[in-house]
Amino acid sequence: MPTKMDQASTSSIQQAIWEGRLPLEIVLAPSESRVYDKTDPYLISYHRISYLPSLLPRLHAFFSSSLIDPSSQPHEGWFSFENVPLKWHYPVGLLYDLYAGAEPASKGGGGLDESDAQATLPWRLTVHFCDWPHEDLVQLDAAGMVMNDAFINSVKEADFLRNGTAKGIMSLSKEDSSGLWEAVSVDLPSFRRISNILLPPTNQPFRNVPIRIFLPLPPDTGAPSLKVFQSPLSPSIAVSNMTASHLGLSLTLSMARHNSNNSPSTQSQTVGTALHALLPNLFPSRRTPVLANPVLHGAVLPMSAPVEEVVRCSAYGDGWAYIVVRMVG
Amino acid sequence: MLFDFPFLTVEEFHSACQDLASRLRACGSLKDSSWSAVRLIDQTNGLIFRITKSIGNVDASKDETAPEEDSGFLETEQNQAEEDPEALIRSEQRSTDWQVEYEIVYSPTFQVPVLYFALKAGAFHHKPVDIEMVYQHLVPQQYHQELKNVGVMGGISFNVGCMFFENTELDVRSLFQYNPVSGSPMFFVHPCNTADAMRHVIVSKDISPETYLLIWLSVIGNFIKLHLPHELFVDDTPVSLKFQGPSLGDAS
Repeated sequence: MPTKMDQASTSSIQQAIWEGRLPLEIVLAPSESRVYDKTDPYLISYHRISYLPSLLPRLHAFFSSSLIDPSSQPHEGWFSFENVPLKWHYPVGLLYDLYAGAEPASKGGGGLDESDAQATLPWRLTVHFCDWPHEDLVQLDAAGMVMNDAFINSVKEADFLRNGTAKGIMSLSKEDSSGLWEAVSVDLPSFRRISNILLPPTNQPFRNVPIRIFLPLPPDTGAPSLKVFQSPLSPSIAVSNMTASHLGLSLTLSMARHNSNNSPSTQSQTVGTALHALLPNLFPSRRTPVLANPVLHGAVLPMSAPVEEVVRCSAYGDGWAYIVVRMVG
Repeated sequence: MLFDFPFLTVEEFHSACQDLASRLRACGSLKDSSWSAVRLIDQTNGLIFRITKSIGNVDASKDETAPEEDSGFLETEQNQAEEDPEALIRSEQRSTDWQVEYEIVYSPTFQVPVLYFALKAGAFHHKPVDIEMVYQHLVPQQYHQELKNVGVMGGISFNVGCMFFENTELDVRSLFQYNPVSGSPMFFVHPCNTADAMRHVIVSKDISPETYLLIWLSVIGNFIKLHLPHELFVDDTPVSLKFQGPSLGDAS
């Protein structure tokens, strides 16, 4: 493995991501309001790694006096942005990166400076408590089990990729598996404790790295407006053409970045090598973003970052790194 | 000969779907089957093998509200299906019939096929379809007790370890989730132990991707009343579900 990030930098990056917040301005759907579009908006600085339905109880309380139908329940609430129902199983930071972050916050710097994105902040969302869009969204339940299940299901997928089995999450105690969900965005120490049970130790590489890549498509191209890429992604790749993994990578020796700790025939899978393998047209170079940038937590990812380290220090609460491809210019 | 048995690569999945679609096309109409349509849909996010099955008018006996209201939505869908030149098989349906849409997609995480399904109520049925209806209409009686024992709402879990194999638990869970290819909310049979199950069911990896898909379908489909039409096995080119011995010169 390349010069391993020490535990301290991993922790500090994780801490920064946990503290990342997004200002939201949430309005009640005018058709559900006694005063149409005159309802005061609800403003909140909300954790990027949190999930929107966690806001529903306070939003329902806040808007209850304005609701035409006061009998609606908090868990009947759903969100939309520019009339697109938002999938509640994605963290809010990912939703923002997908739908609203017109330009990545920083170009190449990799910082969390959001000055360029000021124009789109606060992010203006609409909450609805009627007319659940059954065709688009899985319905929630009052006890929050549906959300919990969706989260744990995602954790389980990440676990399966990292270890090649789903035994880790299966062996987690009931308290810990619900504790993991409850800790997301509110309790970093608990979250670390439980997720460390699932994560392979740092000296034991992942089998595959849980990364999904999202490519937003122009809105007029038909049904799904996102193309999602996922392929078995090994943390290291062979240098030779012969055994270049599932991805069909063909790397030349001159491109290889040798590391003393690695066996001579492998190198780290980087953000650049993975993107080049999955999306060669958008990422013709493994080192430099030419046509598009990879964005994670609102920041541009360095192409040279090893994917396993990216996931270890900056995954979302479910163990996945969700990278959004943002076109340059 | 599969590349990474008991897993299926995405290319193998595609070829399996294509081959199964061709085979069904060759069968012509499936008279004795409840399958009413089969379609291979190439979506932005992958291939969907969709099987539509009619389960009749399950409302008929206990009717509550069946006034002559608009049935527009469903009929429109059916008309489309009937005129759809890509539909591989079609059959007549009444708009009051309930339908099950089974969608087979590929899981890049588990590297196996995954079965999603949705129960679509017939016209004049106004209550939303819930998990109870799925139990009632799609899960064979013998598995009811097992799934009721599972506390998680919306979760169906079958422990069928004893049915097929001694040491592997096939935790066939089905949850209400987003179909990753179409983005629609559907139930699905959790694929996390599918590969282990396939390893136990199939002795040799010297099988075609299509045979893998058919065996997988007969194992998983069993839990939610998706049965292979027997036309598949009586035409001129039967699928060999017999296990072949390893071929000579097997490199791996």
